[in-house]
Formats: sequence, structure tokens, C-alpha cells
Amino acid sequence: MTTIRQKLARGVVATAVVAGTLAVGAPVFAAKAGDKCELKQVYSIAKVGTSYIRCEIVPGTSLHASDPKKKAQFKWKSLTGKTADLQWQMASAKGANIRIDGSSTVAPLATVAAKYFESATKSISGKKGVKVAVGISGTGGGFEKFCRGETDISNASRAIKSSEAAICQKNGISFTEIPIANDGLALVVNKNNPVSCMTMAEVKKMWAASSSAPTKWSDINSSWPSTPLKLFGAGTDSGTFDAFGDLSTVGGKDKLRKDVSTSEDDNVTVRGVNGDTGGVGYFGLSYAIENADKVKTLKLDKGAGCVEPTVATVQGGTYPMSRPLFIYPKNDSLLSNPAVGAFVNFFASNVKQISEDAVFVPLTDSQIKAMSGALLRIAALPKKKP
Amino acid sequence: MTTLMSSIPTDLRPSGHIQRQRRIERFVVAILMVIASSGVIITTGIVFSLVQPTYRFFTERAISGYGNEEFVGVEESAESGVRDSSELGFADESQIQYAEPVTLGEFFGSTAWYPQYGDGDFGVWPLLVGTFLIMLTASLIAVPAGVGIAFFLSQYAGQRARRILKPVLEVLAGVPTVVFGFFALFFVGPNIAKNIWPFNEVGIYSGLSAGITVGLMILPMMATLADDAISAVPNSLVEGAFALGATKREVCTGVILPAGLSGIMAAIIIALSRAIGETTIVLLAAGSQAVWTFNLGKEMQTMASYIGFAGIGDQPVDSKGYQTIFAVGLLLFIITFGLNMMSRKVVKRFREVYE
Repeated sequence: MTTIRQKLARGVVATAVVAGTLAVGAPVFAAKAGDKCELKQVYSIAKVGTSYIRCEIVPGTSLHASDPKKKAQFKWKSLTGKTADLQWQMASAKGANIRIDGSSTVAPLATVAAKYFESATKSISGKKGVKVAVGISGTGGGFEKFCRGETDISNASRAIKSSEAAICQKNGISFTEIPIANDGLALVVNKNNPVSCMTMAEVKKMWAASSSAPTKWSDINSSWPSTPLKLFGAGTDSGTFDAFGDLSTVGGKDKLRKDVSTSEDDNVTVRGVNGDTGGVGYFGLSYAIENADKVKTLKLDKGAGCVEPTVATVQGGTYPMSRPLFIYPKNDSLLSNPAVGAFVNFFASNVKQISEDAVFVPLTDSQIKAMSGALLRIAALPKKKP
Repeated sequence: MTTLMSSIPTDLRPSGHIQRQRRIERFVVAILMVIASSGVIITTGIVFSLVQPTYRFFTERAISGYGNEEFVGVEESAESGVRDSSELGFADESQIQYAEPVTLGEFFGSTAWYPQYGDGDFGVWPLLVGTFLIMLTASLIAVPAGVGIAFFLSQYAGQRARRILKPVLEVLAGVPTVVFGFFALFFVGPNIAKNIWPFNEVGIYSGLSAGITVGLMILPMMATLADDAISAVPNSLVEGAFALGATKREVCTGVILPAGLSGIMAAIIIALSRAIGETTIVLLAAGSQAVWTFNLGKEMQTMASYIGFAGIGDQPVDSKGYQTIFAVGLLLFIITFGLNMMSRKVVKRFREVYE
């Protein structure tokens, strides 16, 4: 005699087959390589016979394509190569938590990676996938927490400072630096502003602290309108602020002018520039692309003509304000929490696709080479049994 | 005998446990006293938590930075490859820069307020001026309109109008301030502040739009308190004036206003301290720059909105910038406390006793 409870349990298994997210190791699975899957299943893994398949975005299609023909499609693909390793790590990651914090620029990228990773681990361990929490407290704030041992991974929109590394060392926290994507710092202005390109000398004049700092656009270049200049900037504890101090060629963040509206929240800058004809601000390129209907991104000229920030110009270094973005996993977490190692491995080995889906500039080939060095190093860390 | 006892209602019968009743009574009184004195305990706690960091702000130095460090660009990140914590050069103690304690002279004597930058400027005047200007704008709207509403509701409005207007006013008083904040950002700023300010082009964030909206926010409270003050005027006075042939307007200005003045003044001061302490609206609508200016068309910060801004996480813990939160908080506390004391004095001074 079957109880109602047992009947319900069977029903759940049946739905799981239909949805195609059956636990690995279960005897039957409806999908096979080449079948269609859905966005919410991306990076889910399933077992067919003795081999594994994974739901992936079809190459050449994109989540952000404006051309309907190139709109994202998802298909199951058979997994070969390092699958076993990945699978071991994921299986051991059952029900664990990963705490990530830091840069607000990197957060959207880490969030996409986290979402994919959660769906991947859920497909292996049933309902209890790995929970990845991504916080936003700025690069500086993130390292503060990281070096107190409160987080497993710190996102950073600039490399760690030796002073921060010193605090980590004092607290016995060792870590590995991994470049994870690139970013162009976009200089954005109001849509009604006739200016579309600035030389780096003009950028410097605009942002450098000085007793004769310009107050109108025409103070910088006499052919520009006499609209009052209204500056919006990143929060002073953010990596974007530090990076802008260097990239804007004013000579470091301490030389940036102070009469700027600052905020850790890039939305404040978007609203300000959008609502003020003379407004100008800066933030990560992906944020500028996302808000292309509200603000205009300027081209920059460092002497070789105006360059628009794009994937190619940022990667090639022709766009003057480019920077790498990093993640910093804690070595102790890599050793004691297999989920962290699995996540970093997952993030790094799928970084091109994740960057593209999150509208970030992917790593260059030489950076990827450097990154795979990091992964080897992590793999070589003395492993503890989970 | 039994019939007599049973005819008395149960709760009036002597209980026979007088001792126990007294004990319960004493216990209840003790609990009520603790609850009643919680105001004192909380106030003491607030003052204590503000005073200590404020003291450190004025007496101790804090880490302000570590000098300018190398920036790692796209190419360097590929060249340097992966770095492990063990390969990074560590900063030694000598690279750490300290910020000296802020003097009272700088705090009250300077007009530059940039606490979040490395060396930092800590003159509190921009915040004081911003607070004052936004309070002034708000009171210019809320005081006349609030008193007007109160007179209309209590003297002129018919039963039906009163039945509709009064609850609507109360609903308005219950709207969360964050809603007012977005109202300021997306309606008052672009549609009103931008068009009425003659002196400069008003941007999306301005003291003016925040001030106007704070005024609208405190309006229902102002009106209700003024209404209460007017209602407290003895009816005999009003009727007496009518009997002497005064018109309604003469009764309002000649009898009710002076008689209710103490209450109205108290209402104004309470509304003002509410305006001074308003955080969310100003934080959302007035921008994040504390500038030494008397031009309402520009961005400004009030003391309360600065605390909200800095508390969100723009300041590393224990930096001088972080400690400013408490110093400004204490100053704000002292100012609102002073205003409340003043309102008590005012009520006493202007009170007209009739009966």
C-alpha cells in the first residue's frame, strides 16, 4: 500500500524529469546532448548513461543581441575533459555557503557567475545547491572585511594595496590574486551635451584639484558651451575612485578635485548626469552600456585620435582608461570549503561566457594564460578531504 | 444572609486577600515606572554612544592613508601574472599616514567640509548652513499653509468638508518619507525647482527641491498641531467676540490667534525640529556635496543627510571621516534638544490663561 506521501514523492521525481534537472546519478534522464534547454538551466549538469551533459549558451548567440537571429539559445552539450574534477568539486559543495564582498563594479559579474554556479550545483545535489552571497561594500570596504576573515572571496576593481596585504598578513590570511575581467572607465555626459570626445589633457584639466579649476565647460575648451560643470564621482572608498585618480592622469586620487558629488551607488551618478545638462561622471563600462538610453559615453583621445570604449579598444589598450578587475579567494577557504575552490574553478574556466553575459570586457589571451597559472597554483594547494 | 451577599456584584465583594492585592499593585507600579523612565535611559544611552567617538574625533589621530601606491593596469596584470599573498610587497609602518585630531577651532571655524578625502577638511559650517536653508524653505511652506489649513478646518469648513479633509491630511502624515524623497527626485526637482529658481540652472539634486518636499512632508503635522491649539481656545471667548458683533475674520485674527499663539508656536518649533532631522528626503533629493553656499539652487547636505550618506559605507571604519558621523550626530542632538527646550519656554511665555 502506498501512502499519499510516497505518491507525492513520486510526483516530484516525475516533474524533475520533465524539467530536465534530475539529480546526477539518477537512472533516467529525458534530455540528451543537442536538445534545447532554458536560461534558468544554464550550466546545469545532468548524467546521460555514463557521460555528462551540460546546458550551455549556443556559441554565436548572446543574451544581449539586438539582432533577433542572434538571440540567445540554450542547448545541452556533452562534457568532456576536466569534467570529473569539476564534478567531484561540485558534489562536495553540497549545501555550502560562499561569502563574497567588495567592489560594486565587479559585483554584477560575480552575481552572474554565482547564479550559474548555483544552478550547476543544484542540478548535482538536488534542491540544496551552493548558496553564493555577493555583497557590495566597495573595493576598500571589501578588503577590510576580507582581511578580518569575514569573507571567502573579495571582489576588487583594482589590485590589492601592499598596505591592505599587510593587514591580511597580520591576521594570518593568505590569498591568491586572479584577474577575472577587464573594464573601461567610461566618462559619461548628458545626452544634450554637444561634446563627444575629450583629450586626456582636457580630462586632467576637468578633474584635477586646482585653485583655477574650471567651473564651466567653456573653461576647458573655448569651443564648448558655457554650461556650468557639474561633477559626479565614485565613492572615495571604492576602487573606481582610486583607479580614476590614476587613469585620469591627474596624478593619483589625492590630486582629484573635491567639489564632486560622490556616491558608492552608480545610480546616483546616472540620475545626476541625466538630469543636469552640464553633468559629467564616470563608472565602469558595463554600467555605461546598460544606461546608454540615459547618458552619453564620451570618446577619449590620448594623442592618437578619439577612441570609443569597446571590448576591442579596452583589451587592446588603445582606450586610455582601461583597468583589470580581480577576485581574491582566501587560501584557507579554498582548503577548507570545497565549494569555494569549485566556484573559483567554475568562474575561471567559464570566464569568457560569463563576462559576455554580464556585459563585461573579457580577459585578453595573455591574461587568461596568467589566470590559468592561478588555477594550477590553487590546484596545487595541499588538499584536505572534504 | 446568603441572598444579600449574592445580590452584590462579584467585583465589589471584599476579596479577603488585601495583602496579595497590595503586592500586585506595587509590582504593577514598579513595571510602569521602569517603562516611564525608559525615555531617560534611552536618551542617556544615545548621548553616551555619541560622546565617546566624538571625544576621540577631537583628541586622537586616525589612519588616513598609505601613500600613493602603484596602479596595476591591464598589461601589468598579464605580465605580473598571478600573485600570491606571499609575493606581494607589504607596506611597513612607516608608510602609514595619520590624520591629526580635528580641533574645535577647525570644526567651527572653517567652511570647507570634505571629510572623506585623505587629508580631509572638517569645517562643519556647510552642513549647518545647508540644514538651516532647508529648514527655512520647509518652514516658509509649512507654517503659513499649516496655520491656514488649521483655521479653515476649525472655523470655516462645513461638517462635510471637515469630514473629508481631516482624514486625508492624516493619511498624508502617514506617507513614508522615502516616498516623499522620490517625489522630490522625480517630480519636485525637474518640474518645480527647475522652473521657479531665477539665479542659476537647477540640477536634478538641489537644496530647493529637498526643502520644498520637506515642507510638504511636515505640513500635515503642522496643520494638525495648529488645529489642536486652536481647538483649545475656550469657546466662551469666541462666542463672546461674536456677541460683540465681531466678524469671523476679526474673531480669527483678534481672538483665536493670540489665544492660541502659544500652541501654534510650539507646533512650529516641533515641525522645525522634524525638518532639521529629516534624513531620507534630503539624502535622496539634495545631492551629496556639502558646499559653503547660500544658494538653494545648488546641491547641499544637511547634518542628518550627511550622517545617512557617510553611514552607508563611504567611510572606512575608524577613520576621521567615520568619526565625523558621531561628532555631527552629537551636534544635531544638541540643536534639536535646544529647540525642544525652547518650545517649552515659548509655550510658557506666550500662554494666556483664561480660566
